Amino acid sequence: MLTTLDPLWVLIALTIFTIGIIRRVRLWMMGQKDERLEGVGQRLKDFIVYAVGHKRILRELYPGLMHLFIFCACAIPLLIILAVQVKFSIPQLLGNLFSLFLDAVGSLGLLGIGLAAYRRYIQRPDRLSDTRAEDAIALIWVFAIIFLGFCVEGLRLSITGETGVWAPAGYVFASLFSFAEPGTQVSIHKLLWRIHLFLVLGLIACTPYTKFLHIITSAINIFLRKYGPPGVLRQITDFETAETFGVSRIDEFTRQQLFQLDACTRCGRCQDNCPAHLTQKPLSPKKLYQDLRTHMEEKGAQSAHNGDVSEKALIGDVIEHDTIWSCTLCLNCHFQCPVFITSVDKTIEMRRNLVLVESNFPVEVQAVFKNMENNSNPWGIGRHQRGDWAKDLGVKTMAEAGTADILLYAGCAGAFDDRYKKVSTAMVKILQAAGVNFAILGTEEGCCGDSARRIGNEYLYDSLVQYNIGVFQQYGVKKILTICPHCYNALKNEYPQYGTDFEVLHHTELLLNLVNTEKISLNSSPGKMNVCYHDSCFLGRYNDIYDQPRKLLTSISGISLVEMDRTLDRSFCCGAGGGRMWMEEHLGTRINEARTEQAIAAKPDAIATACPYCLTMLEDGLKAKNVFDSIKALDIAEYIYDAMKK
Amino acid sequence: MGKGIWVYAELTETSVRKVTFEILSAVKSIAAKKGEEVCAVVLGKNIPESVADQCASYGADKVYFVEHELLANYTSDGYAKALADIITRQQPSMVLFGATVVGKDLSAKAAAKVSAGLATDCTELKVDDSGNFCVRRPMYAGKVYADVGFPNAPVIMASIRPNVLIPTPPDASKKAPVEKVAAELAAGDIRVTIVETIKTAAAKVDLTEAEVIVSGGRGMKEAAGFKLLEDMAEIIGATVGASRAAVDAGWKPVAEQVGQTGKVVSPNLYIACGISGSIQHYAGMGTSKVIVAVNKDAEAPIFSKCDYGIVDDLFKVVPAMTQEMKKLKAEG
Amino acid sequence: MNSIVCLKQVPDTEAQIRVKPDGSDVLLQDVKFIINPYDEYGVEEALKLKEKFGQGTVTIACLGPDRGVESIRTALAMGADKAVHLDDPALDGGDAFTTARALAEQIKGMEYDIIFCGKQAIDDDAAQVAVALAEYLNIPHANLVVKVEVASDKKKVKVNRQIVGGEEVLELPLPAVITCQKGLNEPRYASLPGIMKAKKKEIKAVKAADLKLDAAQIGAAGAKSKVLKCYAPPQRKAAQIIDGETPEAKALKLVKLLREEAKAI
Repeated sequence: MLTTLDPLWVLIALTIFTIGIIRRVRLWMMGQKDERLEGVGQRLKDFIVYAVGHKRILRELYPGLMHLFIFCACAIPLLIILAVQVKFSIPQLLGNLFSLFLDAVGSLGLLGIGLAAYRRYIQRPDRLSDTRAEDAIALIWVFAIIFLGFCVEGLRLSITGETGVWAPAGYVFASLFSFAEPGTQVSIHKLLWRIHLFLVLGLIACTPYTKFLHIITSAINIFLRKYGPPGVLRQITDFETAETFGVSRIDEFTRQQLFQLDACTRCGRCQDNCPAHLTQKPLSPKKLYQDLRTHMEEKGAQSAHNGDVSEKALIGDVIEHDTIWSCTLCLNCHFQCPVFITSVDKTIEMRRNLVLVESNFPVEVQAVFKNMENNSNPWGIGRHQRGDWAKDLGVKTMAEAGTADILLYAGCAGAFDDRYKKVSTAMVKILQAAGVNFAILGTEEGCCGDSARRIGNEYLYDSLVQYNIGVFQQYGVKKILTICPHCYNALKNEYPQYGTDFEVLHHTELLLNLVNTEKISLNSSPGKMNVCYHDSCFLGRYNDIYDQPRKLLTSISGISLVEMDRTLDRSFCCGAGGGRMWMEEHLGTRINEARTEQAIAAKPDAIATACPYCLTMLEDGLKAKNVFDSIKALDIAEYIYDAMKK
Repeated sequence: MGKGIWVYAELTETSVRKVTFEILSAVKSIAAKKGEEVCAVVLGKNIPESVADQCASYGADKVYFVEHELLANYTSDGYAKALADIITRQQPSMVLFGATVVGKDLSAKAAAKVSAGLATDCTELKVDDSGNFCVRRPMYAGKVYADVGFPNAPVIMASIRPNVLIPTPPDASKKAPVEKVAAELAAGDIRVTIVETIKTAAAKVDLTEAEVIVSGGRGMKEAAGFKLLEDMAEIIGATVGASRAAVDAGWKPVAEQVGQTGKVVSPNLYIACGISGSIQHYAGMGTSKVIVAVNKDAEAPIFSKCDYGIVDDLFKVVPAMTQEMKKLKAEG
Repeated sequence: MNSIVCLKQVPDTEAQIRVKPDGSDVLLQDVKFIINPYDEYGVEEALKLKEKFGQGTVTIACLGPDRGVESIRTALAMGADKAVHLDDPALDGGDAFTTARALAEQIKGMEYDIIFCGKQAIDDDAAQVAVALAEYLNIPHANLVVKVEVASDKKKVKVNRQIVGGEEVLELPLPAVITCQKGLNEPRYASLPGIMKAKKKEIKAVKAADLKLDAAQIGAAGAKSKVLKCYAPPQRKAAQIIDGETPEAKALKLVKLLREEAKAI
């Protein structure tokens, strides 16, 4: 079959391929240097699990299987064919099984493409609404290759008279050509084989210029994924010397960040789970990646031609301000993306530029910054009142106690928010009943800084962190108990960027421990009650705490859990993350009301959560839906405390 | 020894500003203790005699009319010069003003001209055991009160917060001699030109002068919610105010905001509806004589700062109150 | 377009202000200090003028103790160019007029087209310094300004100022003193590069001796009014929370009390 020219065609295909790859690489190299990649072993393992094993892709059965079939149909025959070039002889039986296997794979491939086409063009899910010619071309191309492959096999069977037992699909195709004379069949075979070959070489050649690029980039992106606690933001330390902060030009992203843009296949799972997108904000992670990608290509073309194409501003022209501010940093997109593309690291860098360099941020945020600067809490309530919530509870401050086993870090909500003071008070009473040796900081406590950091004010965050670390070190604090998941995440996962090493617990972790070790007993029952637990982003996705709150609830007699559809690591954000608690929501519908509707749909008697932001948002949602009198929202600590009463 | 305790009588478009009478009333006993006469000082053009009568009825022993063409409208330059001139000539021991927009401006400039000692926005006037005059005034947005004395001051000046001192009932039989003085002013003395005057709220009593204020906050839910307050205000002759939350939400203009950064008010009765009662709001109305709060939230800080409170839905309470007030008004 | 902005450092609006046990003064330890919010409007307006005219300097003038440097740096971080800091014990303990006198002496020797001050300082709430400053410099002033329009020839300024029941539009020749009221502008948030640059901007220290004033005109010696004693504010009697079966019943009770007990309606 192969002619003497074929090596030339292969060479040409590979050359075109290489040129395309180099062009893409040049684009990625526009970016800044990344940190060294560590943990190659784990990365290879994850590559097998997620790229080959399709672990995340298979979270949704239809598109998962559909892609798996196409993937197998492309990858396996390719491997086999490459292997077969190395002419080793295999036993007949094995060869027959291979043949059967390949037929199955090929058939599944055709099925996969059929499923894909049906989904994309008949079902038309919202997340594929931006379907392009590129997608159709890819489907048709692969279909053609497989189809022609079967044609070729069928013709071969027909010509050689082989039985179709070990190649049933081929056998079916053989009958297609039964009308032709053997001689004609040979010619058709030759022709179709050649077309098949050119289609394959063409696919290889055009990979860098088409959707097929994802075969390389998506797979590699899985290898390049970030490890460590999810959502930890890049630290800035050179406030004094840096000339700029955050990102305002595409080439200020890192090379890996730019590479990620090429790994996106526009599958849209991110968008389908994004609370901003689902409430009609302009933010869609998919669109963010695609817009950045287009801009990267434009920039690349510009510099290639020393172009005088007009300067498009990254922030404002390419990416709208509203897109940047709409993100609640819930990480749902990070967890849904089958190939581990991340949006938060890009959004936060643009926020940092807007806040630190341009002083351009939603107007209501300025007061929040000032309040945190002057009184160490976003509401600007007098700093001297930070210990008032506990003054009649018989709690010692660290200054009074000198030392304690565990520091109870109340956080701004626990200290100042009237609703959440009930939770911090309940926690104190539980700890006292359990005989835990703890103290609070009172007026010496400062804001953890999470809101400042997530809005993009890294400088303010830095000063708040340094203050807190100073106080913790002064009292030799080793173990910290937090009530708010944002404080928890900051103290546990982000303060270590400053070299700290505290043991940090969320109140649900400690409460479960107290229940399991019977330091507290849950004697009281609220009666038979269906409780719907809302996973807060910063506890669930950020810190993998899903079970503890649920176990606590079911430890209370009478309580059964009802789950929302969007639960556990698919939980839908309450809308307050990313500093959005402090911003007005002007666009679309309200995220907190959307989540409340989801909760109400689960038909609960009450709602449970473990975060002050979520509690505020859900209560507001219940009020807005006029069910606040019939469905209550309570913190886990409140459920436990009520169950402890005799 | 100075010759007299003077009270600057601020004119409105139609009459004399009420605070003048409050000060005249309060200053009578002080003047008696110090053996000085009380004089009202009025500046303007063609000042009507009735002004002198009104001042006399509240206790002025004498009235100065300082008149000039160029004093027809208030200007800092014109009024301060004219006032400073007559102060320099007559050497009163003290000059008191209402702590109004005009009063605070005029007192500061006149005090600078005559090297007086000046205390702004006072809530109490007294004479100590040694016979020295001193005032009490709020500082730090009302978080601290200070007694202020005036050592070394050739003339003492003070501006008094409106609606704090209680005017005695006027005695129309009292009369006071009027001394008319022509101010020495030339056009070049007045450097500022008034280009135009923009009136906003027509015919309503300004918040800072109101005796009764009904105020709404976040609990009003929307701009239309304020209709309830306007209905009540209509019946009891109140001015409607708003908290910062309501202004920030766009339901009411900044000019109607009561608070530390808005208007500082001191009515006889302040009814706060749907207002949580932050310290900044309190700083703007804390000297109200009677404070009433209506709020659904039992934990709202305002309940620890009011005289009477109702923890309930204001949308039910306010109309019910208005109904009852209507009844009382009809009964006379 | 050269502006001078008079700036005072004051305790934060939320700070707890306690009175010393002997009532002689307030306790300001552990208190957070900020730029007087009304002065901040002045800084912003001066910066806007500089941007509008494309040239000129914005100079901060501050009379106060050493801790004031932090607030001066904040104003410099917003974009002001330089500062003069009158910091001398001999200037302490005065009243608004000694402060204004000292500032006037300093400002006399400077080049300026316009001076911005806040309408009042939120610590003493006196609202006197700016007016006295204008008097000592013999230039006109306008108080409670919510809008500023400097003419392109920089010879005069049109301002909107608040009066009872509305606003007045005034025209003043420059130089003049403008006191800023809320609503004039939204002060900008200092950018990080601005904060870093501010560390290198000039803050000239000025002592009493530099001012060529009589000792009797400054500080405690020159004060014509003096705080004799400080008190915590009088506490209101505990609130009467009105009870009742229905909101309407409570409303009725309240109106009765207001009429008969409080005699307020």
